[in-house]
Parts: sequence; structure tokens; C-alpha cells
Amino acid sequence: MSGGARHWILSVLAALLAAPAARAAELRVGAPAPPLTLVTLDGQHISTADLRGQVVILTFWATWCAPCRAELPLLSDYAARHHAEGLTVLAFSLDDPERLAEVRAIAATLSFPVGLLGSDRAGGYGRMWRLPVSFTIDRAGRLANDGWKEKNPALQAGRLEELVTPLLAK
Amino acid sequence: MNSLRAPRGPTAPRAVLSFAFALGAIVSAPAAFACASCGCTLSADAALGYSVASGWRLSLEYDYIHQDELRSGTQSVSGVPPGQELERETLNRYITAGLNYAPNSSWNVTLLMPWVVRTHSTYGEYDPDEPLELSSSSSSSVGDLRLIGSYQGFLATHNLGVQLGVKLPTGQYGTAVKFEGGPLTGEPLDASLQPGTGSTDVIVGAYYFRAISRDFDFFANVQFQAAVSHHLDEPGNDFRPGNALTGSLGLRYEAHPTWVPQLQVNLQHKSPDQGALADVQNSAGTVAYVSPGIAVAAGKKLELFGFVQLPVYSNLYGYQLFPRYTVSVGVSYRL
Repeated sequence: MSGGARHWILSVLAALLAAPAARAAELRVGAPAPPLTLVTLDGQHISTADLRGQVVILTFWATWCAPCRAELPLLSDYAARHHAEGLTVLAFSLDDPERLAEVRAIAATLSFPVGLLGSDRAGGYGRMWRLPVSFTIDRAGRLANDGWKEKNPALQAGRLEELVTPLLAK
Repeated sequence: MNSLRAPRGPTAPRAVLSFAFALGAIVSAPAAFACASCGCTLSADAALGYSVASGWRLSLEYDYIHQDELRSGTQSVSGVPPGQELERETLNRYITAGLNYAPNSSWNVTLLMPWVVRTHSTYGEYDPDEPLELSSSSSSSVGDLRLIGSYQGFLATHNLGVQLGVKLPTGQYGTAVKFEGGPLTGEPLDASLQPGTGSTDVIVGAYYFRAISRDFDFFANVQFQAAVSHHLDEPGNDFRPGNALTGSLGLRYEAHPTWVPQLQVNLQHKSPDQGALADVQNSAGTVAYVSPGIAVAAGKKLELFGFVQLPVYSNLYGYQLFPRYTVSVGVSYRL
């Protein structure tokens, strides 16, 4: 390849990578959480904007994601125990509509609403490039936890106690 | 914008997924074996992103391949030895219409219908004692249709697929197109430069893709094409195109939902054409291209892409015309 062509390719790549990206880079703990609406399997619309005053966990999962399947029962149990304290969990499945029956079967075992995300993008939370991932919003609507920065992407019971329980006490 | 997506293993929770709801790949690079070991190696499937969306799609792709550099082995050369054909240039333009149907997220079938516009000029057999006289030809006609079925249902994430297809001898072949100017006027063009090969080829392939970070997807694919029967099969009047193995690796920059810059590396190895009408000594080789490009979603149903292919390596048997670059642009519309 000629030097000119090489220079051209590198220049284009540099420009592309430097361009501002419409993604989750804007996520910042303590800042207002990006709004997101769950369309549940029975057609209800639940927006995070309408849940001010509650602690909200947004969790993203899929039927084929084994760590997600391990996480969901734990999260369901935790959500049931803390619902009265103002905890809401919204679960977004990244499954194809073809797997809706399987999604419904799993959703029936959970204590929180489930819907299909319908895209690989979740607004200000960015591209769902790996699963599971969860985000926590405090009662004031601020992002309390950025799941992309979690060392362990699957929420464990201990992590829930450490991260969410203090928010519920406020 | 369409995305690639990939699975997450139970023991590797950091794996990837990216969804593939958007527009999908319905076009695929046209077979370009008529131009020996050059061009048309771009993976248009990956350019638009492999799709799990069901339904019908239409596509149109334009490929521009101007072969005006004479090469031998890994070098550019200024001439050929006496007795060898001294070609001047070949300009190929492929306009390929595609029709794709996916009944579900696991299966899809694509019909590719190329229209081949080609001009070619040659000085004929080189004789240092004779003045160079240029002969030229021009053709514009339908090429060889390709029908390719894909299955990507091995994984729930649909990011591993296999392909099986056939290339049909629908284009003119053999001696159909003749020189129209110069001392070779009326003589048939080389069989490898005809719009079609006259052969029925089997195509097998596989592809894999996954997200590797928040912003990048990776893909790899390979496709093998071999003629299993050919119309030109009489002794002294036979032609069988060489087998071709094509592979691509690439990265897609997925930070933006509507425009996806990407970089492909395209490799192809082609074995020599065979038969009395074949230019056996000058039709094989191995080539590699680096191909920067971009795919843009213009609405929910329409997607565009454009790529430039820059050759970074070629090892060509004999003497062959080779492009200094190629250009591919395409559009895909979901019905």
C-alpha cells in the first residue's frame, strides 16, 4: 500500500474515532439518570421519569444469557422483599420476538415487570453490548450505579445489599 | 442502524451481545472471477451487519474495478516477455440487484442478479519487433446469478452462520463477446473476461460476529466457490473457472446508532482457470485488501454503504492486470 493511502486510512480512522459518539459516555453517577421506558409484555408503559421518589433498578437480560438467568431469581427475591420500601425493578429483555414465549415463561416467575427492549440501544444507557448489566437510580432520579463499570456484571445478593439497601433507607 | 450481536457464555459473563433488529445484509459481493485474481472481495454482508430481522429486502450494489496496473508475482511490472499477451486495461462495473427473504431469524435466502459492464483493451501477443496495436471490446449484459441460503440458528444469539449457494451460468460465456476494435476485431474475448463463466458453481461459507467492546463489533467470514459443471466441456473448447477462497475480517465502530464506520481486511486465493479457453498461466493468485468504509441508516428501512478497497498484497501468477483501488457502494431497503 502506498504511503499516501496508508496516511489516508489512518486519517479517516482517527477522525472517526475522535468524533463525538451518541452513547453511554455521558453516564455519570450522581447526575440525572437518562430516562427510559419499559413496554411490558402486557403493553404497559413504565417510564423512569414517572418513578421519581422510588429507587429503580434497570436490568438487561436475555433468555440465552446464563449469568442473567442466575441473577434474575436473586433480583426477583430482593425486589419482592423491598417493594414496600419503594423499590422498582424494570427488566428489559434483549430476546428476539420469536422467543417471546420463553421470555413470558421466565417473566411469570419474577416479581417485577418485564418487556422486550426491541433494539440493542437503550437510550442514554448506550449499546447493550454485553449481558447482564444493571443500573440503579436513586429516589431523586440520579444515577446511583453505572453497571458498565461494575467488576462483576451480574448483581449478587451481597452487592444488592451494599448498593441498593442504603438507597432504600434514605 | 443494524448491529452485530454475539453470545454470552455462562462462564464468560462479560461477553457480548449486540442486537440485530435493524436492517440486514442482503447484498453480497458479486463473483468477479472474470477478472482473474482481482477485486470484488468486499464483504457486503458484514458491511451492513448480519441481520436476524425477518421479511423481504431489496438491495442494489455498484462495484467499480479499474484494472490498469500490470503485475506479476508481488511486483508491478512495465511489460511482458515476448510471446505473452500484453493487456492494457480492464474496467469492470458490476451493478447487482439483490432480493432477500428471511422467514425467521435463523434462515434467509438471497438472490443476486448482476449486470456486468466491462471494457477491455489489449495489445495482443507482445512482439518487440512489431508496433503495438490496441484492440478493444465492450460489453454490457447480465452476469451469472447467485442464489445463497444462510442458516444462523446454531446459537440463540444468531451470530454464527453457514451458507450454501449456487452460481448459475446465466451470463454470456465462452466466445460470446468479441473484440470490436483493432486488429483483433471479431475475435472472441478471453473466456475469463466474458460476462459469465458458463459454469454452475457451488458456494459454501460461514460467518461469525460479536461485540467486543461497547463501541466495536468484530466479524469474520469465509466463502469457497467451485465450479461443479460447465457448459464449455468439449475437448479443445472447454473452460472451467478456478476455485476461489475468499475471507474477510473486520471491525465495525458501533458508537453511533445511525452510522457505522468500519474496516475490513479481505483476502482471496484463486486457483488457475482450466481448459483450452483458459489463460491458465495468468489467472491465479492471492490478494489482500484493506477496505475502509461506512454504513449509514437513512431511516428505519433504508441503509446505505460505501467502501474503498486498497490492495496491500498481491501474488499473481503470470501477468495480470490489477486494480489500484476498487469502490463499492450499495443500498438496502427493507420492505
